[in-house]
Amino acid sequence: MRVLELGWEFPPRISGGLGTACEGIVRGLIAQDVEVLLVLPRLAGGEERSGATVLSAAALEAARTAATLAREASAYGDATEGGLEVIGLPSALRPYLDAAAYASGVGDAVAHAPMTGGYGKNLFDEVARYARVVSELAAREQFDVIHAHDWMTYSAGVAARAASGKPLVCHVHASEWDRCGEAGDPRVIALEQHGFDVADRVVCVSHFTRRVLERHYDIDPAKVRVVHNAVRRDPTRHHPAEGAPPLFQRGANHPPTVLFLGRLTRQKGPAFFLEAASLIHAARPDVRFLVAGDGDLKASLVEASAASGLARQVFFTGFLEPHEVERAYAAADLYVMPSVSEPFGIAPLEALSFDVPVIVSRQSGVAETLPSAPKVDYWDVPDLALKVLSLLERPELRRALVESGQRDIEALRWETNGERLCAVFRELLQGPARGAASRGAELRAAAQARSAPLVPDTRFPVGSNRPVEGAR
Amino acid sequence: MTDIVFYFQVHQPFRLRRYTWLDIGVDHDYFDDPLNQMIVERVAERCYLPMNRVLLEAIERTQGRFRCSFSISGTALEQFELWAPAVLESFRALAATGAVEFLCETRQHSLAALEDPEEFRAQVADQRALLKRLFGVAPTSFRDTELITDESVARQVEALGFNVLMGEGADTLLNGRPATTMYRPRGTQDLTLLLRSYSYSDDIAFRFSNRSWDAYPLFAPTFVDWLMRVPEDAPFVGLFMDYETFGEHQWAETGIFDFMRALPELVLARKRFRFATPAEAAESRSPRVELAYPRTYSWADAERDLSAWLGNPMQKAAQRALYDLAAASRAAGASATPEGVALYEDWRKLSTSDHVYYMATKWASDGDVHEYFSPYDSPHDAFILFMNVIEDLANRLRGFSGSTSAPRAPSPPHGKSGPTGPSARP
Repeated sequence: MRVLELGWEFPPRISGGLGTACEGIVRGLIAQDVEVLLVLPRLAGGEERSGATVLSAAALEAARTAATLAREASAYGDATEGGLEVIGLPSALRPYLDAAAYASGVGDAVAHAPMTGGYGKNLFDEVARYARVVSELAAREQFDVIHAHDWMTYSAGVAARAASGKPLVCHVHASEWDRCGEAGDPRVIALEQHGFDVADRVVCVSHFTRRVLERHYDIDPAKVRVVHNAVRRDPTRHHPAEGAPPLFQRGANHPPTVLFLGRLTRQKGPAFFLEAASLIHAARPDVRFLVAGDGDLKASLVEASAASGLARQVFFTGFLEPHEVERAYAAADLYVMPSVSEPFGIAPLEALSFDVPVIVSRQSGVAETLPSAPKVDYWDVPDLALKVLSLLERPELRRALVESGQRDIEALRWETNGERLCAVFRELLQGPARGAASRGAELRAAAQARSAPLVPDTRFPVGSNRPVEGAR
Repeated sequence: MTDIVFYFQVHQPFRLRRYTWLDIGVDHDYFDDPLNQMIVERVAERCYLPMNRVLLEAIERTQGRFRCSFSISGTALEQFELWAPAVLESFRALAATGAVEFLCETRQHSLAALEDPEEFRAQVADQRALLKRLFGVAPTSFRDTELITDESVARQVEALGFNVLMGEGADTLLNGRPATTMYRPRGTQDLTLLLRSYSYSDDIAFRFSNRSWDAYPLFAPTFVDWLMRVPEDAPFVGLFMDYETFGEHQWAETGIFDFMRALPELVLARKRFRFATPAEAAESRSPRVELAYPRTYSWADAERDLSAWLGNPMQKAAQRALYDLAAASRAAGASATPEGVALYEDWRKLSTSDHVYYMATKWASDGDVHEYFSPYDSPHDAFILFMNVIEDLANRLRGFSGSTSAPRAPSPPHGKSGPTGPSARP
C-alpha cells in the first residue's frame, strides 16, 4: 500500500503536538510496510525520514517554473528508503494573481516568497498554494489512499482526491472548535466542513473529538473512526543529558514543582492552572509552578501571577526547545494538563515516560487512554488544587501513579496506531466507501471531463459569492 | 535678579541579560556587559563628550558666569570608569572650573527612599564617597531618583545633612503657586526645595525637535524671550532635564548643541538674569514658603507620580520581592567576605529603578517612548527575567547565611501607586 500523506508540521519544525503526532503516524505506517509519500509545505532540514519520501511543497512549486522537476524527482528517488518519501512543496504562492491566470500558469514567472509552512498572515494563501501543488503531484504520482492532517491540508486532500480518484481520509488532530470554541474563524470551519464532506473516512484521535465533531460539525457518523495517538519510546529520552536545574530538583529536600506545559492559549487552560496555583500556594507556600510554553495569553498570565501574590512561585520559561522540554519534565514532581478542549494531548504521555505523574482534564482525548490517572473537569479549580495537594503529600502515591500510567501507555504504540489506520485504509480499498462514494464518483467524472486537473478554488472559500465545488 | 538654574541628570543602569529559569542556581552573572558597554560608548560619543565640551567652552567664554549642576548616578559613574574613561575626564574638567555643582543621589539610582530608609542612607553615603573620590567634591544639594519627592523623602534628605532638595513643579502640587518660588517641604526645618519649571524645561528636553510643535524650530533668542516672561521678583527658574537630551534623545542634527552654545551669552545679555547652581541659588534668598505634599511626586509622565515604576502588579511584586531581600543582602555585605560583598553589590544593581520601569504597561498607547528606553521584548519579559534573577539571588543569600529556606509569608501588596494611563516621559 502506498499512502499520500499531507502534513503541515513535522519535526524538527513543530509548533505544537501536530508535528509530533504526524511523525509517529508515519513511523507506525512504515512499520506496517506502508510506503509513505509525505508532502510538507517546506522542509526545515533534519526531518527524520525513516524510510519515507518527504517532499517540500515550496520546492515543488519552484520546480514547476523551471525544467528541474525531473532532476528533482530523481534526486528524491535516491532518498527513498524503506517506504517513506518526504517531498517539500514549492510554496511561494502568488497572492495577487486571479484564479484564471493562476490555473493557466501565467503567473509562474512572477516572483513570490516561498511557502513558510507556518501560521502567519499568509496562511490561507499558503493553504491554497499547497493544495494546488499537491493536486498536480497527485495527478502524476501513484498511491492508494490520501491521508490529510488537520484543516490546513484538507483542501489539498480534496484536490488530490479529485485529481486521482483515490479515497481521502481526513485525520482530525484538533478542530477549530477545540482551539477557539464559539469564537472560531469561519474560514477555517468552512475548510474543515468541506474536508469532512468530501472525505471517505474521518479519523479522530479520540472519542472526545468524535463527540465534538458530531456536536459541532455536520458529519456522517458512519464514516468516522477513532484511532488514539501513541507515544514514542526512546530510552535515552528518559534521562536528559542536562537534567533539571539545581533549584528544580525533585526529592524530599527540594520544594515541589508542578508543571504546566503547552501553548499559553485558551484551549490549554493555563488560567485554570494559575487559579489552582493560588489555592495550592495558600495551603503550601513552598510549591513552585513551572509554566512552560508561549502563546497569546502570556502577558495576562504573567500579570495574573504577579497580582495574585505568586510572583516568586511561578516561573515562566517561554517557548522551550525539545531538549529544554525534557529538562522541564525532569524538574517536575507533578504534571497538570487542565485543557479546556483537547482532542488528544500527547504531553501527559511524555510526562509519564519521564516518571512524572499526571493529572488530566476530562475534556481531553488522552484521558480515555489513561484509566489510572486522576482526572478533573477543567473548570473545577478547587478539585484540581485538592488533587495536586494530596499528590504532593504522598510520594508513594505519585510513584504508583507513574507505574500504572506507564502500564496504560504500554498499549499506546505507534505501531498499533499504524495497524489501526491501515485497517481504515483497507476498508476503503476493499469496497466503495459508504456516504461519500457517490459524490467521489461525481467528482472523478467531473475531473475527467476537463482537460486540466480539477483544482477547487479554496483560496477564498468563505465570503465569496461563488459556491465552493463540493460544498453543501 | 533671577537665577537660571540648570540641573542635568546623567544615568545609565546595569541592564540584565536574558536570564532564564535554566540559569537559576547555575549562573550568577546577571548583567549584560556587552550591551551596557555598547550603550554607554554610544551615548558618550553622541552626548556626554560633545555636550561636556559645549558646556566647558561656555564656562570658559563667560569666565565662569555660565554655571550649571549635574547629578550623575553611581551606576553611570561606574560604567564610565569601566568603559568610557574619557567621559569621566571631561566631567573632571568641568569640576575643575568651579562653575559646576555636583548633586548627590542614591548611588544605584534606586527607589530606596520609598522602601527602606536604612538602604537609602547607605546608598547616599556610597554616592557621597564616590563623588569625593572621583571629583573631590562634598555635595550639599540632593535629588532623589526621578525627582521622587514627598515629605518623608524630604525629612530623610534633611537628616542626612543636605541643604537643598530638587523637586518637580507639578501643577497639582502647586495649585497655582509659582514653581519659581523657593519652598520648604512641610516637616523639614531648613531645607530649600527647588522646583522644576517643567514647561521651560520640556521646551528643551521634550519639544525641541517636535516638528508639529507650533514653536518649531526653537532658537535660543526665542527661548530667552520666553524666559523674560518670568516675573521680575522670581528668585529662580529651574531647568532640570535628562542630560541624554543633548545628542541622544535630541540628535545633533536637530540643532540642540547650537542652541545650547548660543544660550549662555543671550541669557547673560539680559541684565536681570544670572546663572547659578542650586546651592548658590538657595544661598541668595531667605524666605521659604512651606509646601505640603499630599502625595508622592516625580517628574515622570503626565501624572507626575510613581506609576511608571510601581504602577502595575508586576512592578509592585518585583519591588516587593527585591526589598524582601534587602536586609539579608546588607547583612551579607557587612560580612566583608568577597561572596557577601558580591551579593550585596548584585542586589544593589537590581535596585536601580530602571528594572521596574521596564515592566511598565502604562504606555500601551504610547509604546514608542517605552520601547525606546527598554532593552527587553516586552514588560512581561522584563518581569520574568528580573524574577528569575531574584530567585537566584535569594538562593545565594540562603546559602550564604546558612539558613534553610523556610516558607515565606505572603507579602502585603505595595501600597504606593498612582493612577495609570497613557502619558509621556519628560
